[in-house]
Amino acid sequence: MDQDEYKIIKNNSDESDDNDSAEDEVPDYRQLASFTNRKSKETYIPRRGEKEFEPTGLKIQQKALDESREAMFSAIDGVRQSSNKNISIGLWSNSQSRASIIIQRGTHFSSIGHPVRNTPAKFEGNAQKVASETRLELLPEEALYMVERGSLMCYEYEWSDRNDKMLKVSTNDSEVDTRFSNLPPFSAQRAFDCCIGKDGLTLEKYTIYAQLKRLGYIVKRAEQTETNIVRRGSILGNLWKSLQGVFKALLSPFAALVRLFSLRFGSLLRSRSCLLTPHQDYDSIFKSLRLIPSGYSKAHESSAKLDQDEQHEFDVTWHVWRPATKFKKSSPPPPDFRIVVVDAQKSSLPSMHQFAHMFSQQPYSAPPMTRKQKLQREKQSKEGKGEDTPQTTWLWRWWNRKQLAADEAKRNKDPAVMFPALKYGKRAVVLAIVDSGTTSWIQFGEGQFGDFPLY
Amino acid sequence: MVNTGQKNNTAHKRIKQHQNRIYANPLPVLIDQRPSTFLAGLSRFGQKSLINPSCVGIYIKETQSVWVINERDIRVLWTRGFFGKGSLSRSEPTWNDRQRKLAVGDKPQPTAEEITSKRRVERNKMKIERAKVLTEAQLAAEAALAGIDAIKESPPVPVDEDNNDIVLNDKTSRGFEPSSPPKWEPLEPDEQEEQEDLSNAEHLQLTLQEAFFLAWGVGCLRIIDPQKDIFMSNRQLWKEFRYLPITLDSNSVNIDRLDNPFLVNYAVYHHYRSLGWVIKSGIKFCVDMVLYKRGPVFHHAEFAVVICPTYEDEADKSTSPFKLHNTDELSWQWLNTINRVNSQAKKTLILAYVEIPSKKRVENIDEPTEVLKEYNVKEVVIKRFVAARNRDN
Repeated sequence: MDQDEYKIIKNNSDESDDNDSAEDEVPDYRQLASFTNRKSKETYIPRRGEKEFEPTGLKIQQKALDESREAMFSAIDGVRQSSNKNISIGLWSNSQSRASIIIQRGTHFSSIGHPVRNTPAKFEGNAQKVASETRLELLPEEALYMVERGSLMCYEYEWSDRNDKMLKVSTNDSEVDTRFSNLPPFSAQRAFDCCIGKDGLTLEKYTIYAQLKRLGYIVKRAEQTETNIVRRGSILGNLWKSLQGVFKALLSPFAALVRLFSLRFGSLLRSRSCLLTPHQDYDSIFKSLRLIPSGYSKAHESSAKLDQDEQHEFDVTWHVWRPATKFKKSSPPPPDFRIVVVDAQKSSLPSMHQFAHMFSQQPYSAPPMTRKQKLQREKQSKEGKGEDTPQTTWLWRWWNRKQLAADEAKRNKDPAVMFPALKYGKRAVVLAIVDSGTTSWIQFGEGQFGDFPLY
Repeated sequence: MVNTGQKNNTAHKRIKQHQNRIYANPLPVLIDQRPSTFLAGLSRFGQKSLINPSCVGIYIKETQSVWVINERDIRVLWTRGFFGKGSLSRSEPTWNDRQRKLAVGDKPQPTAEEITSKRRVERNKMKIERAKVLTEAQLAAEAALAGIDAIKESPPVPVDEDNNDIVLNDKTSRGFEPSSPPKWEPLEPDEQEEQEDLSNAEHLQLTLQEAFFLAWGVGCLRIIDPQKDIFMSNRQLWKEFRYLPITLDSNSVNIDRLDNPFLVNYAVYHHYRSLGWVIKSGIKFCVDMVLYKRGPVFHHAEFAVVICPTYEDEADKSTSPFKLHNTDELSWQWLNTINRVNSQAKKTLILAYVEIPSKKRVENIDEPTEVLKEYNVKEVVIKRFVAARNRDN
């Protein structure tokens, strides 16, 4: 290599060390000539900087590469097996789209499956009377997931009567073996075939379900848990809220009148810039400049503009809880995440009205705590100093409403409060966009810039 | 070490204090801090009055911008709210300073452009050092390996020109040569006259949104119509700025449409400005605007805003002559492209859906307040969700 080329390569690599450089400096394209006019016909690709995984020609690199490759092969080589002690037994029915659990093993069932009660009355006159008992039934995604990961041994059996004696729950392996000896076993392949498409389960929805389950999350159908979720707030609180609504409705004509007056009056002043009104500080100047409404207070108008299909296109598919959640099937806590599954090929971004409708269906949620806040909370709970919120009556709050509002406005300007609130939003929904098996996850938050002014 | 650290700290503090002093005001108007006289206090109930800097700009139709020529006005508009962009600078109008420095050779304060180029040189040096250390470690490991494998073989290190391994090494080490810092070619010190000419070469250019906000919203900018050589009234500006995108096809019947690009953009601009954000163009980040908390000298922009206009009345969309961007269905590819760019620049992406009111609702389009209060901005905050990183509370 001659000296000139050395220089060129050096220059190139120097420039490319910084992505921005190209922006300011016009490259000298004459440099390219030396690559094309070479006397020897050997092709040569111009180098642009150091590559991280470039072959160095060193033996140690080759050795590391060989070792990793070997490790991969041996991992794939291994036989997948699972201990008998951890395998549950179930019966899958295509007509019911459910798997009924016969032998229950492992810890999965703390969040998987739902209890179904048998009614023994129907077994009159039968010698083998089935006692009243509770069975577990699995939804298609639950059965498929369990079969796929080798935790459930399923047989195919068309039970339509839920009191079919084949469904009798057992703990005795040999008894169950003989009971199902004539039934065809349910392979993972067959499970995909049977479960996808049943009961609204698409391949996209299952992909996301399985991904979350493998990460340890607790995942439930949104429509299944929606009705069971423990609602925050007492009956008294709800009563108070509805009373407030009545008051508001009664007062609304007056409020409208006041608003109308203040708008007319305000606009007169505003139309000739903020300078005409006297101001104490920049806060009040900026406040007088604010005239463009923002936010989602009129979400119902958006919902009204959508037809049924548009309203339900982005309904929440999965409710998701973090792995450490103390989960109770009968009364699940509010979910940590709400996931909407969409097919990338068949959908595009929600429209503004769909966003508004989507957010209006969710409860308000606070942004996740920062590490600092978590530490503080732990420290407080250790010292036994719980948050000492003074017990206040609504009268006290009403009397001090101005002070309280001012306090809140001040708190909202604290960067530690403001930025998480702006970046997370008032309510949030996660969309999992599945494009033929590849997933992209995006969280959409309801923006609330209007509630967090800087001045 | 401790000493230099402290030194850096105090230097940093001094710079911060300096900045806080220069950029103390978020708007060009100042609040009169003088103690009010008894009479004034009586008449205004203790309210303080505002000091209006009364800046002057020239409306240049051809470039769709407003130029501010006066140096004092440039300084006022830049330091109090970071309005405009220097015509010969990246952002802050620093061209004059840079030229003077080259001519005279004094260095009072480095300009933003100089700081960037200095940082690049330093970063390069750091990378070279890092690579050097890495190669040395690799070579040491290689030597150890060779020692284990076969002691018979001649040790490949140190450098031997003919050895293949080392040629490859040499190739990798090529980038390690420290690069020479970019040379500043000083301008020939010219005659005094020319230097004076130079000092006026840069002007501050305001976008129409910025100009209208300053003229009508804040009331601290008067704009000259260069054709008639008179100041334009707010009403004239409001009309003139709406004409701009459609002057070419001379069909000005559409001037009263509420999806006029100036109106749509201004509504969003005004929304964020009135909340206290400093707004700059977002073209470099695939978006319409970026929002700074106090200004570009304090923090990086936190938010990147894409304007997505939505029609209240769908019929208005089909008859629109403007072909606004992002009004049709948006694809996931589109979103991911923009979001990836911005998350790499540590900005949070905001879709600002601005609802264009139906014509029926606006009685008087000549009255900015009446028009603007009918628009509505709904924000959607975008964030990548990584399931694997959200497992712990």
